[in-house]
Amino acid sequence: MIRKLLVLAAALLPLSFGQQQNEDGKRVALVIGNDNYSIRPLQNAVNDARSMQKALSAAGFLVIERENAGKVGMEEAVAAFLEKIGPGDVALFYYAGHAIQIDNENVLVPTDFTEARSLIDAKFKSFSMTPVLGYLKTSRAKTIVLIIDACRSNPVAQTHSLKAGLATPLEAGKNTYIAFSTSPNNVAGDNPNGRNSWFTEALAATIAVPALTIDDVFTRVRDKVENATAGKQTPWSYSSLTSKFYFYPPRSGESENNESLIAKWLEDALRNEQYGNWTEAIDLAERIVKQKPGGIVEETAKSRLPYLKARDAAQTSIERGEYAAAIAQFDQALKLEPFDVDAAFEGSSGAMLADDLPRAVQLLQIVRQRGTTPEVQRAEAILKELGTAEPAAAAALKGGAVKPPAVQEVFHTHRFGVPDWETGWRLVRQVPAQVDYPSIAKKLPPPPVIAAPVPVAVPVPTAQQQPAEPVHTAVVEAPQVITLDDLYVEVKAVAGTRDLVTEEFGQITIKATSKKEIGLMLEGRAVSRKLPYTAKLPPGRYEIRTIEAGKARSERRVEVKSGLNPDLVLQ
Amino acid sequence: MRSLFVLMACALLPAQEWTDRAEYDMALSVRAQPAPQPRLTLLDQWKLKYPNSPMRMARAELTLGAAQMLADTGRILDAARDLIAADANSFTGLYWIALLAPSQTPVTPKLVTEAESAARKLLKGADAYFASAAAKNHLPQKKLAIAMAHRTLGWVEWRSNKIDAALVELRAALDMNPRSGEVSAWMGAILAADADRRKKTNAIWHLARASSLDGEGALPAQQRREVRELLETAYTSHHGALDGLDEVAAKTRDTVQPPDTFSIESATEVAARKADEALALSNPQLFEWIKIRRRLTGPDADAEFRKLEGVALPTMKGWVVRCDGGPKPNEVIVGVQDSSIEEVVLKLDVRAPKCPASGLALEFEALPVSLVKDPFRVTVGVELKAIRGL
Repeated sequence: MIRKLLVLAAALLPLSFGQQQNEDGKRVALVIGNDNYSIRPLQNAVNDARSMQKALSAAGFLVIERENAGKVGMEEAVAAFLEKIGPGDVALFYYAGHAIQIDNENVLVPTDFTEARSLIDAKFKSFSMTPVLGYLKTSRAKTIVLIIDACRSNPVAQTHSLKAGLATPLEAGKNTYIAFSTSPNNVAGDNPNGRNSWFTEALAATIAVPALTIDDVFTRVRDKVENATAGKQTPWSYSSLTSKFYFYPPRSGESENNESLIAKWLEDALRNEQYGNWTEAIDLAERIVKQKPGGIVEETAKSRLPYLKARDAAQTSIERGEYAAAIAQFDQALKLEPFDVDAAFEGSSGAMLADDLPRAVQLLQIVRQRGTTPEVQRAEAILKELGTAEPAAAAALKGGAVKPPAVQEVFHTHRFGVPDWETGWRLVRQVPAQVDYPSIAKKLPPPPVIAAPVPVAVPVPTAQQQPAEPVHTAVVEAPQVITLDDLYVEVKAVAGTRDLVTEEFGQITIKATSKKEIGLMLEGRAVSRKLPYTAKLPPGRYEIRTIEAGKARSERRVEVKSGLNPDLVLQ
Repeated sequence: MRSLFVLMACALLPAQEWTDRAEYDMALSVRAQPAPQPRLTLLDQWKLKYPNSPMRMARAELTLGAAQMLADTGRILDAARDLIAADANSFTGLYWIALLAPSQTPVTPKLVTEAESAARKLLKGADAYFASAAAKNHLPQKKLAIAMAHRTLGWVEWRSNKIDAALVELRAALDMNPRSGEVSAWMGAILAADADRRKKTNAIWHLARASSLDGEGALPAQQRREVRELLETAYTSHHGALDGLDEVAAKTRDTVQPPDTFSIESATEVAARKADEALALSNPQLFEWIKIRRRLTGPDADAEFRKLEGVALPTMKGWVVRCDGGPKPNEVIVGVQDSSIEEVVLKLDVRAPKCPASGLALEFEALPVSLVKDPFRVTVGVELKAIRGL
C-alpha cells in the first residue's frame, strides 16, 4: 500500500527542477507588488506579488521580489533583474499595482508617486515599460514573459482624463508573451473582498497545473476571471512565441491537451475498478481530476473517487479481520454505488462472519433487486441456505421476485435530460462547419483599376500670348513614357462633368477603321501606340480628337456611362 | 409548447417498467462497460433486441454519451434523432442536432431542414427548459444555447441564400455569445460578397475579429488562416493594399460589431485623396477653386452657394474664353480648370475698353453673384482695375 501511495505521490508531484533543466538557460523573474500609494492605495497587490513569488519559485524561477517600491526602488529592481538575464534564459516580469497609459505607452506607477501637475509630469514620475521591453529584446533571452496585473481604476488617470486601462503594446519583440489582467483600455477589479486580485488568484493557481502551455494557462485564467467577475473583466494576452513554454513541462509522452490520453486513464481507472484494483483506480481518477479536462471525463472521475476509496478501505478492513468496520465501509460503498452487487455479496459475507445474519439478508436482498439474473440466482441460493438459521431469509424468498430498479437508478451517474455542454463546444471546435473561405475569396473583385491621375487643367496657350505663369497640371504619378507618332487620338474629359469621388467606372473600347498605327493620348498622357484600346474612365463627358501633325483633324464628344459602353469607332 | 417542455423537464424519464429481466440484464451489461466503443456495441444490441423499449429515451442518451467520448458526430446525431423520435421536444436531442448539423458533410436539404426545425424549437423552448428542475443548475449555459440556435439558423438561412435573414440570426448569435470566432467569420464571409460599400467594410471588421480572436471561442488554426486570407483579399479588394489592416484588426479585438462610424477608405478614395494632396501642393490656387466647384456641383449646391454669397473668393486665375456685352464688354467669361470651358463669368464694375484675347490668363479677386447649375457657371463681381493680366 505504502509503495502504491509513493507511486501515486510521485505521479502527482509538480514537475519542477528536473524538467526545467531541460531548458537551455535559467529562469529569472522580477515580481513587484505596490499597495502603499498615498493616493488611492490598493489592498491586494503585495499579496499578489507574494503569491506569484511562491508560484514562480516553485516553478524553478529565480525570483527577485519587491514590495511597495518607489521609483528608484523599481529602477534598481529592474536593473538587478536585467543583469541576471543571459542568452537562452526565460525572463519573466510581473507587476501588480497601479499603471496607466500615456500616449499609448504603458507606465507603472511607483508608490512614491504624488499628484502630477501635467501628463508630462505624470510620465516622469512613473516608470515606463518601453525601455524595459527594449532591454529585454536585446538580452537574447529565449522567452520573455510580461504580466501586468494593473489597469485598476486609479487616481492619475482620472485627474488627467487619461484613457482607462493599459495600451496595446506595440513595441513587443520576438519570443515575447504579454498578459494583462484585463483587455487594453479597460479597468480590472482589485477583488476588494479577497486576498488576491481575481487575475493573480487564478494565475498563481493555474501555473501550478503541470503540462499546460503558457497559452493554456492564460486561457484558463481568462475563463476563471470572466466567471468570477460575471464577464466584466477579460484578461488579455499577446504572443510572439515561436515555441511552447511551460511553467511545468509535460512528462515524456504526456500532454495536457492529449485528450485521448486522459480518456485512456479513465478507461483504465474503470477497468481497474472492475478487477478490484482499488489503489490503481484511485491513482488514475485523481490524476484525471488534477488535469481538469472538463466535461464528462472529469465528472466521471470525480464522482468515482469517494466510492473507490470506500471499497479500498473495506478491502483493507477485511484483510485485517475487522469485519464490523468492513460492513460499514461496504455500506458506504453501496450508498455511493448502489449497484455494486459485489460489495453487497462481500458485505453479506462480512456480516455472516460477524454473525450479523439479518444484515446479511438485507444485503442479499439488494443483490436480488439490482443484480443480473445469475447474481440473483446466487443470492437466492445463499438465502435458501440461510433460511434454516435466519427466518428473515426464508421470508425474503417467500415474498417472490424483486422488481429491478428504474433506469435512472441504474445509470445514476448519467446526467439525463441535460446536454454535455463542454463536450459540445469542444466538438464544434474539433469538427468545424465546412465553409469554403478560399473559394469565397476567389469570387471577390480584384482591387479597382484606378485611372491615371487626371490632369485637372490642360490649358492651351494661345498664339497671341503665353500665360503669365506655367500652367498647372496635377500629375500624381509619373506617366508611362510612350512616344506617339504624328497621328494619334486624344481623349480629354470635359471639365466638371465627371464624378471623381464615387467608385464607379465606365469601360469603353476605342477603335479606328484606318489600318494605320494610331496612338492614344488619354488625359494628356500617352497610353498606347496603337488602337484598339480599352480604357476605364470615371463616368462623364469626354472630347475625342484625332490629331495629326499637331492639328485637330476631327473632334467629337462622347458620354461615358458607368459599366460597359458601346465601342467607339473612329473613321 | 411551454407546458410540454415543463413536462419533459420535470419527468424526464418517467419511471418505466423494464420489458423483462433480460432487458435489465442488457442494461447492466452496458453499465458495466466503461469503454465507449464496446459500450456502443452493447447499446446497439439492446436497441436491436428491444427497439420499442419504454427505456428507449434513456438508451439514446446513453448512446449519446458514449458517442461523445469517441467524438463520433455521426453517431451523436443518430442518437439525437432517436431522442427526438421518442420525444419531439427533447432538448438534448434538439441541442445536438442544432449544434452539429453545420459540421456535417454532405449538407443535404434534409439536414438543413432538420437543423432549422431543431434550432427553432430550441429557441421556443429555452425559457421553459432552463426554468425546469433538470436544467436549473445550468443557467449559465442558456445564453450559449440560444446563441448556438441563432448561429445554426443563420447557417440555414445562408445555405438558402437568404442573406438578410442570415445576418439577423448571426447578429443575434453574437449578441448572446460575443466570443464566437465562427459566427464572426460567417458574418464576414456573407458580407464580403455584397457589393454594398457599408457591408463590405463591415465584412472586413468581422473577418478581422474572427482571425484575431484567440482563446475561448477562437476558430481552429486552419480555419483561422483561411479567414485571414479571405480578410486580406477583401481588404485589398476594397482598399487597394494591406496598409492599415493591422490597425483595423486591433480595433476589433474588444468590440464585436463595427461601430457606426467605422469606415475604410476605398482604393478610389485613396487615389482621389492623393491626387488632391498633390494638387494642393503643386497648385493650391486651383485646388481652392476645385473645392469650391465641388461644393457648387454637389447635391446641396444652392445652400452652398448661399454660404458663399457676399464672401470674397480666394484669388483665382482663369483664361479668357469670350466676352459678352458688345465691343466694350461688361462680362468676360473665363475657364479656370480648362482654358476652353466656360466656368466663371466676370461681371465687370465698368465696361472694358475691348474684349481680351482668348486664352489670356487673368488673375482676380471676386464676389459670387449668381450660380447656374447646368451648364455650370458662376457669375462673380469683379473690379476691372483689380484684374491682373489685362
